[in-house]
Amino acid sequence: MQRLQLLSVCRNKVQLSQLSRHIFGFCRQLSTSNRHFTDSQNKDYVVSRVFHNRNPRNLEKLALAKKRTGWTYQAPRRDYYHKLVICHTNRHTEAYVQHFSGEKVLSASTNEWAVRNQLYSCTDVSASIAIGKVLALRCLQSGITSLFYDDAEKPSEKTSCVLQAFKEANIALTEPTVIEAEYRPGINYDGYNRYAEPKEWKEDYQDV
Amino acid sequence: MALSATSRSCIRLTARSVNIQPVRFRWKPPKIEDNVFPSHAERLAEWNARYVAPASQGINIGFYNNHSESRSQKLDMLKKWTVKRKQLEQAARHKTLKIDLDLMKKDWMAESMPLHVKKMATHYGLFSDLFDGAHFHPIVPLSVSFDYDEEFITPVYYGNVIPAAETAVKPFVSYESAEDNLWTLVMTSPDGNLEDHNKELLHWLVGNIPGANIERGVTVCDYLQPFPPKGVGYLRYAFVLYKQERELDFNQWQRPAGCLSLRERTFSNFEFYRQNEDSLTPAGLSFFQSEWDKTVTSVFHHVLDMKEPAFEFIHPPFYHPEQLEFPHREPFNVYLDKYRDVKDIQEEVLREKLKHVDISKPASRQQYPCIDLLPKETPSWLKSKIQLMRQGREQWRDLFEKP
Repeated sequence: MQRLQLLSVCRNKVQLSQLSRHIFGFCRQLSTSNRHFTDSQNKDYVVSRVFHNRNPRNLEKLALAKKRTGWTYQAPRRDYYHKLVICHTNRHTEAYVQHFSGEKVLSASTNEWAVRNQLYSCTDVSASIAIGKVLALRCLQSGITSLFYDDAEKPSEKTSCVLQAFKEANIALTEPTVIEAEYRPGINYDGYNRYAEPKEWKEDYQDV
Repeated sequence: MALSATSRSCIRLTARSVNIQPVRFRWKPPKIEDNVFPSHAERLAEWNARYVAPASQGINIGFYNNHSESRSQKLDMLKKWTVKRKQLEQAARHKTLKIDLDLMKKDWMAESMPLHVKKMATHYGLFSDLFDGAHFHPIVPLSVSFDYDEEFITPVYYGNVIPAAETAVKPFVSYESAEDNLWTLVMTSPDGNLEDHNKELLHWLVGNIPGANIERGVTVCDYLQPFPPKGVGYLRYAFVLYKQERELDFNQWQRPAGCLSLRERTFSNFEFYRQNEDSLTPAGLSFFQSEWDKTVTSVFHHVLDMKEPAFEFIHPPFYHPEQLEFPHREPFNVYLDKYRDVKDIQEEVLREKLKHVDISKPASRQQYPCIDLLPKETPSWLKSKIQLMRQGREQWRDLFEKP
């Protein structure tokens, strides 16, 4: 999972318009001040033209990262970044957050003594309420504010207790739809283009 | 050719005559060699060959995370729990049993916090960016909180989002420590360097901290508030707490007091750790994410004294397969437009724009752009082009002012 180092690349608007790469000025000059910074400590600091945000979760938070699509009517669904999974076993109750790479990122279970010490049973409805609250808290503490939950089946009482805790914590149980680029015809033959490129799998979202 | 063909048919005849089993099918499927798919190991090797793992991947550089109970301890805890839980039965049956989250957190700190935080830091790619892939268990609970208001504080956990406006003043840092222990605290941003994205930006560095008293430590680099630029999304800011073996000399890393030069603040945590590897051991970790807000503009103008950069996301270009001479079931106009030069298209759009442009006011989108019917004899390709043009879609989006 650590290897899925996904690059997010942003273009510096100010710098690009100076280069006038676009003919009709699609790039807006975002001049924010008219001051002159002559005796500044940062006067010779050059902001790079293209900014790489190395945060692997950035594009997922901005809903710009690609999602796996899966097949239509495929169960379980694959189109998510983070998925909430709730397991009730004979002995324990567990809820965890799974990343699409398969990694179990966050979990709350009754086999932790921190939770179990305050419960009567590890499998009853109160245990589910507690697990929901604990996992929702941990999600907020780790910056996961929207999750996917596969509601193909009607939730049981215990499951709906966990879901209720997420609702109370203001964590959305649907992820935002992916923002895709609007289609514009034409190929930029002078710059980077993907005309007749061999179709191979690439690990980064971006190739500039 | 003819000879070989006859010889082949001979062989087939003989083969049929030799076959003892009665022939059940008039036509036999051609013999195809079985598809040999790669094994799991081969696929895994192919998958792993795609990446270059960081050099220190898999090395534990921290303290031993020794939280594991023996069997007798577990049994003991179980016994205690079976006695204790009896008081909770009635509340549990009435579904009124409420979990005390503060108490849970306190127990969790001692139990599975190091493992959970390590997992989260791996998820956020912190170990690969700060320690070249080497990892550690943050066994010392590090509590960091920003106090931006008289009423509230904003705590830093492990990845939570904090508005940039609330991080203006340096945070309160606390952890449990004996008086004679020495510590180093580093606040660094692996994404914050605007010049070189392979380097980090140092926000705060305090060394030789006796016990948990940050004020008595040596400030190597003053606190600089986070300033995530516009349009780049969420940046990570990490607090790393190192335990020192002995007192260290930080002259090499010393920045001038009140240093605001971003070039001087360029930093590599891995380099810092490697040089002091013998006497530093990472023990605590907490991190947050931050996004641009209005206060960042004033930080650029009044604190850093520089122009504020603004970025926009670059979507990857569309994929086009090789152009065909006779494409099947493709509208000719759409297909040809797909392979035209962008400059050509943009010129066409500009010509169209200049025809109708009124300098006194920008063109605005109409509510019902396609309400006027086109003449009946208009070909369908021209109809669709005019409709796109009226609606301002695809390349014609540039005809109108932006919403």
